[in-house]
Amino acid sequence: MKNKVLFRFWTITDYEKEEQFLAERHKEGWEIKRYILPGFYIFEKCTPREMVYRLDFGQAEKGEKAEYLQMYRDYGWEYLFDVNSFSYFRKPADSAMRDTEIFSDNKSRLEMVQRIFMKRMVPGWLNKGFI
Amino acid sequence: MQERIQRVYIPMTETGFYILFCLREEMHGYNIGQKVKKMTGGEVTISPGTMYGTLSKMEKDGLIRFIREEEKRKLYRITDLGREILDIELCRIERLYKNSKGEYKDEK
Repeated sequence: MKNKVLFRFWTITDYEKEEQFLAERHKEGWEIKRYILPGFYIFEKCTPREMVYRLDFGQAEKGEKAEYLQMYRDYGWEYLFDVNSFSYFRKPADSAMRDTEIFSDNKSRLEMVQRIFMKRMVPGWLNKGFI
Repeated sequence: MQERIQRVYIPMTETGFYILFCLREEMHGYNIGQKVKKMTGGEVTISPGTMYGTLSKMEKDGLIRFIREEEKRKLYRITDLGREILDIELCRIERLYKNSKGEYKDEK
């Protein structure tokens, strides 16, 4: 099994670039296996394929991870792993279940950004006494 | 009814409306998504992140109630509070529809 490791930093507001980055690697024949903070990506050689990668942030209710993941599975998403409160999902771009978005309205899209902000940015600011 | 609930849910998003409307019967998230797709000729999709988030929020706010679990899928149903909200919303939509058809006439 052929592996390769890439190193890359991304800031939490750049999750769309992260999705793009993983999709591009997969298209080149490298699928993500593990992602270890602060930025080590372990890829495995695979058949090049158009895939859609999506990241959700900290949405599963406490003690409800299995139900949360089942919802995504029902919609045809494969769950990869969680890193840094982000849940990584993917599905083939030509999947029979064609919806390639995990959020279908602006309200829920915005709520994800708010969750990121609340969890990651606000405590830091409080510590530094900015508020 | 609490003012906060009314302020948050009325007017409703299309997603919120269809979810609440469907939950007059016991259903789980993916079911709801499929039904809404059929009801709207494929025009309204509710993606999993949006579905999960809306159901969690509606449950916390007491608009829907968790009934039971079936193979890791949570089945919900509307509560009395949810029905109240749905009724207010239905009246609003009906008024909107009537006005859009030009039924309102200025009194002279």
